[in-house]
Amino acid sequence: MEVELPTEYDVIVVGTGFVECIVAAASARVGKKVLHIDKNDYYGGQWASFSLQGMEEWIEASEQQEKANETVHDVAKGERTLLTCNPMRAHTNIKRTWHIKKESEMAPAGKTSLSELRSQDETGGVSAEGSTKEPVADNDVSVDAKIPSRQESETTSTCIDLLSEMKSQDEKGDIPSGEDTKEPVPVNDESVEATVPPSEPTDKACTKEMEEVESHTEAVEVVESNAMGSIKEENSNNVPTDESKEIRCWSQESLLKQSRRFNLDLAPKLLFSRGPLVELLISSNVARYAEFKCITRVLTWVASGEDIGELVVVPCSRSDVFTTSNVSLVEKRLLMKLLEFCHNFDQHLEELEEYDNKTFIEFLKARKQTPNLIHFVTESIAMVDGNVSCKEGLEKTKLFLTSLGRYGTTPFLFSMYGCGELPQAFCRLCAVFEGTYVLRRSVSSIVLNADNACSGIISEGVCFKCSHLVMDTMYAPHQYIPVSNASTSKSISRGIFIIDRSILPNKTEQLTLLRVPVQGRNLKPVTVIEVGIGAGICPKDLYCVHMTCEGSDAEEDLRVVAERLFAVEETSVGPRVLWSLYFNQLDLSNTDTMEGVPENIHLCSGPDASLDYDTAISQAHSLFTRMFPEEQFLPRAPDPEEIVFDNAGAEPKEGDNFGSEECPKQNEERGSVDNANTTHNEEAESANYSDKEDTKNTNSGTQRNVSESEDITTTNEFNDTVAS
Amino acid sequence: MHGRLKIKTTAEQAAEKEKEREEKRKVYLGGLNKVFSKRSSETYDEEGLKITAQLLTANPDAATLWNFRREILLNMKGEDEEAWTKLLMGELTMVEHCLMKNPKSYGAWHHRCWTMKTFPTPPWAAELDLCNKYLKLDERNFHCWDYRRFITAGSEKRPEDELKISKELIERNMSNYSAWHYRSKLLPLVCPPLPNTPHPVPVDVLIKELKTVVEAVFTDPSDQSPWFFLRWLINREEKSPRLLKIGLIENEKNNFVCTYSQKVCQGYAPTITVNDEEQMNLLWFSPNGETYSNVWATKLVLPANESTKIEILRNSSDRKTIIIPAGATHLVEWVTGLEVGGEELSDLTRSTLEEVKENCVTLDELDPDNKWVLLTLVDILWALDARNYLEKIKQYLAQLQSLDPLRSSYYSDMKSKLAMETTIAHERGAAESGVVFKLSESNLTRITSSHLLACYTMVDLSSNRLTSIKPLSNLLACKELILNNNNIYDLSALSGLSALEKLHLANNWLCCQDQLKCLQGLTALVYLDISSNPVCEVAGTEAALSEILPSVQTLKVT
Repeated sequence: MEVELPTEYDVIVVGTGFVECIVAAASARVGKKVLHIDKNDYYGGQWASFSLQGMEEWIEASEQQEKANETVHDVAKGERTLLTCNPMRAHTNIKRTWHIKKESEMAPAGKTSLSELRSQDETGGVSAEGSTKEPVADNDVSVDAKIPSRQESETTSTCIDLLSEMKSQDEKGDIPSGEDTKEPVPVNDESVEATVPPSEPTDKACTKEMEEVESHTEAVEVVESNAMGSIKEENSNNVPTDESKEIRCWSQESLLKQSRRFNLDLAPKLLFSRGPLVELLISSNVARYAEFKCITRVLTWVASGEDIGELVVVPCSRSDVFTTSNVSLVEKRLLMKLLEFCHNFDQHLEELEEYDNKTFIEFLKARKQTPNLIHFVTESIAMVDGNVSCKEGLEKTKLFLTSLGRYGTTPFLFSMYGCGELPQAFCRLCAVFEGTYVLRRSVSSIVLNADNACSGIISEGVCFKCSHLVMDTMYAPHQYIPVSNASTSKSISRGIFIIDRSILPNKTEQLTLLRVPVQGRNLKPVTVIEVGIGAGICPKDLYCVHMTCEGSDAEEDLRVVAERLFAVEETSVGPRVLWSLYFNQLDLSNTDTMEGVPENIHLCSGPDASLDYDTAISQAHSLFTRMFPEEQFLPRAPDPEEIVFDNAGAEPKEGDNFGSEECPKQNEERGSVDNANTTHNEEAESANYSDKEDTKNTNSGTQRNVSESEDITTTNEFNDTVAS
Repeated sequence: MHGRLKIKTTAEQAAEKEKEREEKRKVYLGGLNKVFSKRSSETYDEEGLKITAQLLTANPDAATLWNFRREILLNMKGEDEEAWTKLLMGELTMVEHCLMKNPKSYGAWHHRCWTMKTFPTPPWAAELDLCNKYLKLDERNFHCWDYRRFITAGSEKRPEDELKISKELIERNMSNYSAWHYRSKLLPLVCPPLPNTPHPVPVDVLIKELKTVVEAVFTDPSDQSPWFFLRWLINREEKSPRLLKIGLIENEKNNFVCTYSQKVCQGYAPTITVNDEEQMNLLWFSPNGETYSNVWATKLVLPANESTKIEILRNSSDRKTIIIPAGATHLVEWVTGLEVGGEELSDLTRSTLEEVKENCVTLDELDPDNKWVLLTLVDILWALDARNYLEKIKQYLAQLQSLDPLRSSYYSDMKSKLAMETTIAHERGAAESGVVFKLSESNLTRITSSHLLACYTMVDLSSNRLTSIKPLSNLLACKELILNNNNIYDLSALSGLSALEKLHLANNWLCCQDQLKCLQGLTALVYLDISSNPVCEVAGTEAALSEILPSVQTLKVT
């Protein structure tokens, strides 16, 4: 049902990227009337997080070059229009690869290969779960997968694994499970021999297995019948609770089946615990809408000469330095002394005068730091090139150190369920203060008046008036921003990898930051973030690795690091890549706009290559100050108990939408509810909010439990801080 | 528009808060009155439990309410064990609510202990989890540490597991002094030291622990927690007293003196045979008549004009024989070494200490002027070879005095102790030992090891900074005592030195005649020098003193 939107606003925000969301929230917070609009059906724009399926759809969408040839809208006399651009242009060189097979492609297992797998299993290698052939014919859930032949040969793994999820805890690792009474007879007789379980299941585990087979079959049917590839929410019983250390075999289908357990970031970033974003979240009370996990370790790659080197944990906190075995006794003291000095370096400026014109490395050497320590300090703590000025190195080190220990033993926080949650947190604040949200609505052009000021926008034939227009740079008319292509503009190379074990396994799950220095064949420092189920990013036993560096050819830029971190060949140790995605993203954060941009159009850049959100925060702040110089930027939002509703208890009216466009990516049942072009106010907002919570609790029940038992203090503490 | 948002003003909120507080106050006081009337009427019922629970959750420090609660519970206890257990489980939950309110409430922790003790079969395991939780919230909550010890004792949890936990806590935060301390208590239980070794734990464990703690001190040498642990580790102490020295001294009649490394009681005195004849009914006495003393003496009648064999027997393995030549009146012999445990350092201990020393020297270079580094160096050098490192140790102590002026006297005392110990050790090796002990002009502020001076006939501690001479009561054999140029004013320690003939007290702090009265019992005293004391300025002192001390023939007042 269509609702007439009001057509006049103080601020119209186009695009739901992070900067836009902050500005929208800040404007609504001080009482401005805000319309926030996005052509996508998800929040976040270039900052979004997707389920695996959602990411596949994003890839597909970005390949379709939309033609924006909308009919020209009549405008008042003296006014003219400028066409907006497709924001998808930000991303180029998109290359997604499945490194595992579809079930339909999987060769039935022969006896030879099975026994090979068994022997591998005995030595702690890959284990066979059973091998049956699924008769899934046109189950095409993947977009044109440009799998190079190399990968094809790589994935000659013979086991499939729709059934692998059914393995019961009671079973020993070397007995292949797989109940196939309902399945077609496998093609290969030998494999029947190998896989047929005891003919009469006697124990409970087997019975349960049978039931699960049934539910699985249903699930498969759904997949088949749904052209869009939507997959029903999985029965949580099917989630393997197996504690064994076996490495599962995955198929494309089994991964997609767990699609909603993935939250893959387009722009993964971390928060410094005392950085501007954390302070803003606290001071604005937006933190109530966000949850975080501490990064639990900082890794670096120590290599020398031809030696391929190894990953080591960087000692950054005092207890790390105490317990680490990676530095010698004397180094411990030297490192602690240095860190203590850096933490308060501005109180010892007189000692630093002699280093005014010297590099950070020279300073470190003068402080008797060993090469080992210099590596740790420059590459992982300051995260700079050693040849930067001493002052810059010290400042970066101090930034790291001051954030230590606030919430955890590293200085960093990662947003639970992906970084795409952060823009949404600000959207919620905006909505509570009566901001209007419209997704899936494109903006065809902007309207300029005779004085070259923006008077509004045209969206789907309707003209909306505004005093200020805030806009994602990528939407902006090409007259305003000189976007060419990745090779000439500044660009970021990104890689996303789903892998089957951690890059450095540990007995408890870790959230990892690794900065791979320029070394040997690696020509650019690459930021690597590894997150898993603990942060609500992946299903159990899987990890997601994000790589980011500056560059114009993602696959080439990240190749060396990927080869080092992951098992390239079937036989090599290390995590196997199941799915990978490379893309480049234009970085316009330092690009000046062209002349002639109206004063009241405010362009927001997408994510930059840096690790944190500092650029975005300062951009949002300065945009807001430019728009409303008299107003306070995001004063503390009231807690629920401080809020009274003028007509509390009012019945929701027809047209109030309680649907879930609030977080469309959670709503995978697309097409069932057409939630485009609807508005919602604060009541709908709060309803949605609780919806969302519910969704998450069911969606990721196991994830939540894990996080609660493991690291709930982080989020609690955070909330406490906010509450106080 | 509906549901318009309005934010309450601060004034509105403050008013609401005040109203809430008022309500709470009313409810609390009402509950309190009700409970007290119940208690005075000895009504022990469910309602009483309920109200006290509410009141205590709001204010867990009300001891009277806890007492009343226990009275109710004990009155409600019936034959049904299951019901009783259930009731007590409820107590644990209730106490936990109180602890959330105040994790350091004496009353709540006490009630928890009481509940656990009252249980027919206490749920120990769950309580350890509670301890873990509270120690995570506040790692130095001593209530919780106490409770943890109570639980581990009750549950008979293996100290090995607790040791592991102490390590985890230390690794999480090396400033957790409580965890280090806990570790020092657990280690000797898990790895008991060999008997007759002075180390707190076996040497292999010691080396392993040292490695960890040295890493801690290198990480942060200014944190005192690991230093305490380190000093505990390298400290050596005697587990049982040893007989150090025996001697025959001439004091009125022959006195036989035994000197022990620790204070012992009378019963510890050995059996003595003289010419293979066991001496029965020996009357052992300590200087000043203390029950526990390092020095025990007894009168021994020896045959005249012939050499005598005296055998000292403590137990079958511990015997010592000395031959006293005819007519000898003074003879002293060492029984065991002065070193801790009576033995030289083993090679392993020595190399371990050397390593710690090297580490500390390195640390001193990296972080000069760190108190803990210097103090530990003093300890180690002292243990390794105090004589050889004397100057170095003195230098460190002087450095410590300037770094840590608040404890300057403590370091002075250490210097005194060092001087005393090295002089005694030196004396021991000297040929003419056991007669004259001289340690003057050494800035002594304190007298240590005085029991080892018991057999000297002349002791010279002049020109020091002594104020207290209490330990000198051990000088049973002393005939001449030189204490000139000190700050002494209290002579009571000398009152039992019946052998004393000459006493030099020139230039001290004696200021009135009464202070000299305690010398009255010294019948052998013939020479007393109290010149340059304030008391000399007092008119009539000389006359008064000749009256008080008639035996004194030479009295030097000026």
